[in-house]
Amino acid sequence: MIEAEFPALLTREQAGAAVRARAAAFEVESASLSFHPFAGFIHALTLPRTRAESTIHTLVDRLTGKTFITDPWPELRHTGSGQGRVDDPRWNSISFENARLRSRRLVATASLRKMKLGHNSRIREIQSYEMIWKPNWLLAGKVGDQELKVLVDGMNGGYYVVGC
Amino acid sequence: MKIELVFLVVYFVAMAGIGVWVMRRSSAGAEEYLLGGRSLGPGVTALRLQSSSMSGYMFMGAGSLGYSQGYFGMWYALGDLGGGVLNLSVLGRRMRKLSQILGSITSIEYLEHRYPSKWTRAIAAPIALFCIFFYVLAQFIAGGRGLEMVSGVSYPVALAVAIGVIVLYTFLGGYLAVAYTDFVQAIIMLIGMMWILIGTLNAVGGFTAGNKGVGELDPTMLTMWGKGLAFEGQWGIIIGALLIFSIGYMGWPHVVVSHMAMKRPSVARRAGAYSLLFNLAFIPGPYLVGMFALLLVPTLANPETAVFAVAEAVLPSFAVGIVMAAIMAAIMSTADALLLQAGTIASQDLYARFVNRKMNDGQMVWVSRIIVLLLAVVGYIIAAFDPPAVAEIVIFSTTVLGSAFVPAYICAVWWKKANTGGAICSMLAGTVAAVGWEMAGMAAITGLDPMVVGIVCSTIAMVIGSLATQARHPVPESIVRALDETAKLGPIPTSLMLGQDQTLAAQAEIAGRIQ
Repeated sequence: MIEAEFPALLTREQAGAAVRARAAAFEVESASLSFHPFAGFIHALTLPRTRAESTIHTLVDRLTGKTFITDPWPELRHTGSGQGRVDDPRWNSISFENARLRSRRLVATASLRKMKLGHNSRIREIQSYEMIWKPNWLLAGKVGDQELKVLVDGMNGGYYVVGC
Repeated sequence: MKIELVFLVVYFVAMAGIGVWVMRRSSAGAEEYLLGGRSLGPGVTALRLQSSSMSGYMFMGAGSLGYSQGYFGMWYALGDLGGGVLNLSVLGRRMRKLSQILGSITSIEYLEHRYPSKWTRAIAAPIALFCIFFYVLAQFIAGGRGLEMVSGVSYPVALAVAIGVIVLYTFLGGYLAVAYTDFVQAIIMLIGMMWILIGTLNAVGGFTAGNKGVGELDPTMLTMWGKGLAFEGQWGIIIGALLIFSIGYMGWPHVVVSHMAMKRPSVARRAGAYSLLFNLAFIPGPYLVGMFALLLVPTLANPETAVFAVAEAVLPSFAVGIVMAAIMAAIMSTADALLLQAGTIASQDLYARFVNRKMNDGQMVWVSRIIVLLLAVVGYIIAAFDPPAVAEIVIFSTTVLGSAFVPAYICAVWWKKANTGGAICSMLAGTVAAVGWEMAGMAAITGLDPMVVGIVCSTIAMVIGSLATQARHPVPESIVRALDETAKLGPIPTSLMLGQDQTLAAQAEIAGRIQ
């Protein structure tokens, strides 16, 4: 199995700052790095007429099946200790083959929306990763008297409140 | 060539020019394939969304309602204006969260994930396709009528040209359909509508004088009860009118389709605000112009041409060309999005799922092409020989979609016992009730709008169907747990809640469980 990990681009302090940008009173009490599993694919898309080729990166959430087109990835690294990996909630977990199908479908749909029906663009998978672990910071803290847990994307600083 | 036509041609050439320029500028890289338009700012994002969702209805159907029913048409406008807020505040939050947790990309896929069965998709996809066809048909007719008025050629010829241009646009997407053309189209639509509204208000002596004039013709047109107070106290009809473009729109695949690419939440938030501003400026316009057309062009044979006729009456020729370009912009961007959506549903939701599971990319494009051409040919035949009214078609198809899908969407997040059996019963009952009620002309007899009847029937079917099949087909445990997570909505500080990145919802719920 080809397995890799995205490096965390945000430190714990930067993750806290990302939340404080929206809620200045947020105080971090504890922080842990967790890793979410995705399958990763890189496709090459060629237009027959112009022979122009572009690459499209996709990530497929192995635990929900959600598929994204992403920016080109930073350099991947070999997987670490495996600490902080999230459990499978069995909501909609998918196999690698299913992930591959979803990724290809999304690229095909994106190509169709972009090129529409006048082109028969060729899509070729040029690289795949069965598992890419994406880092997220799980912050526990307080806003005033209210306790909060917030997940911060370890790569771009987006966040989502887990619970109170 | 008439000056109006010259402007129309200039407009199409300009759109093509922008397309080619943008394509050359960004010929490489993944950014251009990001469906959510990540590289775009909130203004462009908002306006391109609006130009895709506004349609020929706004220029023909809305004007016709204003012309024939006065301020009664504002019930539809209010639904349209309030719909976005309603969807987001009442329904959107949980639905968005659950769809993220289940990993759904399209509205039909979301239904299949929540109500796991191939039959969910097998029933939902054809209903969506059926309604899309009618909506596209409305765009064809609107385009044909508009071209007929501007060019003076006969309707069948104008219709053929309009459909040809729309289909060509769908096939030439790589050059024409880039975000910036949608953006420019939205600007032209807004300018065109504002221009004609200002011209109309000038011609009738201002808003107050216009209202006074309409009141002298028929005072009942100034009430929201319709001409001759035909709808006074008929809350069944009025609620239906409010529901159609607020809740009914939730059934549209091109409206519900969720974010397929990661977006910065701040862009989405500001885009929402810009969209609301655009709607406030744009939506009331065609209804008002249609109503004041009673003073300016009082003997129209076809009320649907009210906006066109007023444009010709109050604007100089070159401005009519610009307004016509605005109308064609609305029609083309909507028809184009819907035709591609129809192609995607036919190829991915039906062909790949039920006919050929190993469909390759070439087959997907071919299935889409065949569907688009088929819709165009059948659409031409219907629109040329027995054209229905644009407003009627749009309202009918939105009604059917709303009736078929709204209870399934709402119960998906609010009722844990809603199961596959209930959802299938609900979709079928809603569709049959709405179509049957409309076909039998029961709205006029009973005073109940098909939308109200459709939603009541589909809701009852959902409840009975779910309870009756609960023992044999319980909701899977994984879905129940996903719903439990969805329901966890604590008192999050507002400032934090607004900035959340929705794409992290599932990751957050899952990560939260390990602590």
